[in-house]
Amino acid sequence: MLFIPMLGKEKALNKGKGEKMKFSNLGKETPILDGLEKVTGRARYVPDLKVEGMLHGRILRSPYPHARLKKVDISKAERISGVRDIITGKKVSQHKFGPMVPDWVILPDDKVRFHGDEVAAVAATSEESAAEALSLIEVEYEVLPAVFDPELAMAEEAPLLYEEKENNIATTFYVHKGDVDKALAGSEIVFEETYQTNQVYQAYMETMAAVAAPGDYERLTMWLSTQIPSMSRLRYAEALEICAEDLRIIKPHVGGGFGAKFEYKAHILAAVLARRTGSPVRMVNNREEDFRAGNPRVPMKIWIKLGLAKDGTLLAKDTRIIAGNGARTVYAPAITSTACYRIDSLYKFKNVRSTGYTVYTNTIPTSCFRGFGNAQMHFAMESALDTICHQYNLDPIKIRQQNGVTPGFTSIHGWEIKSCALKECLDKAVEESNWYDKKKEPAEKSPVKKGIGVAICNHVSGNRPFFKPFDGSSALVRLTPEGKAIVFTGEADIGQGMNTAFALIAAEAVGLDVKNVRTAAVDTDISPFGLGSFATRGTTIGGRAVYEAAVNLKKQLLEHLARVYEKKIEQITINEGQIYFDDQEDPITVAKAIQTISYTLGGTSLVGHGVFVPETVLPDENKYGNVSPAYPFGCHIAEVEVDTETGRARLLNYWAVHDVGRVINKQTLEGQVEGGVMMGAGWALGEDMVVKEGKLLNPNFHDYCLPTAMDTPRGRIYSYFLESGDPNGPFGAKGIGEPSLNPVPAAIANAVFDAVGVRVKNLPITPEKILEGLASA
Amino acid sequence: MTWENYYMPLTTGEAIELLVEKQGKARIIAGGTDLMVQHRSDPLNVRALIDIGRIPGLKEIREDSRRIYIGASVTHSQIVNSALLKKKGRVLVEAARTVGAPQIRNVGTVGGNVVNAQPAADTAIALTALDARIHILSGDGEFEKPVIDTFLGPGKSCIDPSKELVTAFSYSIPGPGERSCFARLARRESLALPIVNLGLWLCLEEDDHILKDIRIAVGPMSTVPFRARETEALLKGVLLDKAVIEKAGRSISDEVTPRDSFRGSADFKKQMIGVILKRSLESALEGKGVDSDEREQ
Ligand SMILES: Cc1cc2nc3c(=O)[nH]c(=O)nc-3n(C[C@H](O)[C@H](O)[C@H](O)COP(=O)(O)OP(=O)(O)OC[C@H]3O[C@@H](n4cnc5c(N)ncnc54)[C@H](O)[C@@H]3O)c2cc1C
Repeated sequence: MLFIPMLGKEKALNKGKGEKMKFSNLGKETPILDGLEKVTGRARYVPDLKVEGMLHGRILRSPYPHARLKKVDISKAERISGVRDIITGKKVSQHKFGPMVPDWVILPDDKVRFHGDEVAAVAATSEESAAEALSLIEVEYEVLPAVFDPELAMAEEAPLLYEEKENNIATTFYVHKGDVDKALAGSEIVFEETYQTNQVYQAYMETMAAVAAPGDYERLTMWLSTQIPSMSRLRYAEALEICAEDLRIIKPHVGGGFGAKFEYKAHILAAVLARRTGSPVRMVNNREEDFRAGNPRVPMKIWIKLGLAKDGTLLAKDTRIIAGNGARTVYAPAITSTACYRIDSLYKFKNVRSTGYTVYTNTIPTSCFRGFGNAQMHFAMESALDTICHQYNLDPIKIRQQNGVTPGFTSIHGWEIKSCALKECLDKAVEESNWYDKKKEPAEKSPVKKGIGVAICNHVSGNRPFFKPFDGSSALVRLTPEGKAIVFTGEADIGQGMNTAFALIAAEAVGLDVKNVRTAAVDTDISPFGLGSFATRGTTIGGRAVYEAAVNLKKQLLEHLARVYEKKIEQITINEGQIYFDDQEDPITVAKAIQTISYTLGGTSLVGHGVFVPETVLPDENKYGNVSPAYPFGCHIAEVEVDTETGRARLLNYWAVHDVGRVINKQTLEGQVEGGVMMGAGWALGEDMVVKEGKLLNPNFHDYCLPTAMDTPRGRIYSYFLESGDPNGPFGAKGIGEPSLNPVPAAIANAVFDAVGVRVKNLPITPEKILEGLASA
Repeated sequence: MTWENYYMPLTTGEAIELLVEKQGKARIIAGGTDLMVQHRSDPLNVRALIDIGRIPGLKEIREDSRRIYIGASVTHSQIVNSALLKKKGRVLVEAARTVGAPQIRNVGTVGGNVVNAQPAADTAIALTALDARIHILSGDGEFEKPVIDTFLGPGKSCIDPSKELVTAFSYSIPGPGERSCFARLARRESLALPIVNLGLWLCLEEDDHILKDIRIAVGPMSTVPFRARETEALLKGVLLDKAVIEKAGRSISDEVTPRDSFRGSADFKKQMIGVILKRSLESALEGKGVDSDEREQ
């Protein structure tokens, strides 16, 4: 739809202003380059690795949510044949570290803080021996009072998880811009409500896994199922008290992460055991422990107060969030702050205030999950707007059109919205779903009622404060003497298809056929430093670095072509692997030319180097400052049917329209959207980690009900992509991973309300809650 | 693995010989979809497994002049695809279709489902509604009894798979006016154990809606697959109209005594069983999703 002219270097590469750009590689449906090896089972993941002499690691986990470790006796366990090492808190350093708050130790020697907390770790020559040894470790626990609900944990009398953390508050976030009290006082419409989002599990196919192997030069190689190879290297060096250079991290294929696969205890334990035994150690969670001690979504209780003018103009937003950190800090504080204020750049707010508490409880440590707090707040905000529209007879589409941000807008927190097709997303979703016609349809006579609901979303494509030292990326593109290009990046494809996007970007920028381009697996000995997969930044920031590297490669290639073939650079065009000289009829292939060039240069490959450092800033003490180079937007419309006798809600159809800046690969975009919608639908309609007295009751796929293929909409998920051409993204591209999920629970909740008049304010929307709502109506 | 031998007999006789020879230290395995899952958490204490998947007679679905026979190692997929059962065993076809997912249905068997004796085992509920009989072979010979009599408690069957082999299930060929159907509710559309399930068999007077006879089997409403006999009694001999159907729904909700469980509270299950009975009776009246001898489907 929109074709906004490119700025900077892209302009040189592409046709001029306003014209529809022609791409050889972009905008098509390109199957992921590693698709075949994945579907045929040839792709190797960390758990598939077999290293000579490899030991099997297992972790003894606490059966109590809070207990003092009085004695950990490993004498019987040590006698099991095949057992090579057993570590406990007493045997390892007690220095503290952690991704955000130094509340991690390798293994505790004082107390355990959640049901599933690590008590000891074993390395043995077989899984059986390791399991037997685990069962023989005798632990004397002194059970302590525990607290599970974040709000109760803040109470004076609540037991403390960490003596020094008053009221169990790990961190507090506060922001206030404008004058919220005054704006609320002057608002004709004031709405107040509390919403709750539950704890859900990422359910990636490959559980958390590591193989750590001592290598040459006293270094340690770790094959990790991770989304942050370079960052985890820094953190693990800190945990192991070694120099980061002595750690080599390799990220092979990864079977999904969705936010969970950041720093992880089991990785560190594998490393410790490997260093102590001098042997490679494999540590792979079984599914139950992955449920019990993974990094599930941060549950939140969100109180929100909105002030609006009679015409629907948003005047003020006041929120207070209590978020569950679990028993130690992974990334929940950053997730809470995101929930507090990211959505403020979706609408043209003038007065906002938000307080967020991240609170320790004796439950599973929580962390990133697609949406990073913004998804939680979208449920609250977009549900609230829907209710306001219903109560005050406002149009839920128009209110979003009216208040939504527009291109060129700088939000109240200083976020610079450069590209934005939010309005167009709404228009397209309304048109494709027949919104207004459906709204007019009379209610069904049968007990099964239909309903339709809307929600919009924003997100970031990169998040400057996430890693304090910088945001940005660098890449290398190497053109070999055989004419193949290899992209080296530190950004971690964990199944999203980023490696394919990088290959497409490089192919497009140089003029190669994507068949001859691939992206290398991340290996910190070879790949550039890359922050990794989070904040929907891969294609935008990582991709832009790849783009810069490809441009640099192309420049070198042109110079060498000019030299070797005795032409002027202006006479040369490279397209789809062919080189055209304007004074010659027939092109030559890049493969042939590069071989010729390479052989004049001692057989070298040409290596393009690219760096992208976005002009973003760390927010100041008032949380002001542009954090992301680009902001993606979207609009979702859900159509559901609700059975008023059984209370079950089912998806009928779903329309997801996203402003992705530029379509790099249509197939993986659709994959992300369909996956995001179904992941959000699972969360909205039933997924729930049921915890009783700190113990997870459903740590398996039978009782934790993920949606199956049969639970997808009876009709379809329709996805549409609008191209607003962001000036910072490669060819204008912005991210899709998280925005594809953000609006889903609210769109579904709003549709359920439309169908049966029941407003479910605490996820998930279960049949019981719907029936209860119907009964009390 | 705890067993030393894995046998694959080709006849029921061989299977029984093995059971007798191993003196209780062998165990029948069919699809293994229950047995292997249980073995993981609670290892089997046997010396041998006897896989009955190679015994041709146990995999047959057939009829004689009076009854329909379903071999014990007939899989759920076989049931779903059986032309004979689609016509004359609708409740069973619909029940088998809801078991697990395709992979489970391709290996899981009706015999295993019944011997595993879960209170809401889908095909066990259907067979109970059909008033099926179970045919058993042991060292002492052959005998049969009503399927419902084999259920002793959750996961407890009177059939001892280290001594006895179930060979088949049988039920009377449906006559004129007989219809059956199956319904269940679950947390998702596939691969989910039921919150509630229900097998319904009924026989209508010719040309009107008076119920000559009815059987309602439900789960998980008790420790075993449960026949709602009070509600059946209420419906027997009456004209099935809207009011009666509503009453039946309320009656069964009062009659059953489910427990709070992971899949739903007792109250929720009581309410839901009423809803699915009502809907099943309605669809039986409309002739939808219901088989009868004279109707082709
Ligand atoms: C993922 C999953 C989903 C499932 N979903 C459902 C569901 O939705 N509904 C449902 O009802 N069940 C479900 N089940 C349970 C299971 O698949 C069924 O109960 C199945 O029918 C069992 O049959 P089987 O052949 O696999 O039995 P097996 O596991 O081989 O045997 C089960 C028991 O029966 C005994 N046995 C088997 N055959 C005979 C015989 N001929 N004579 C004597 N003893 C015998 C065995 O010794 C064992 O004790 C599910 C299971 C799994 C793993």
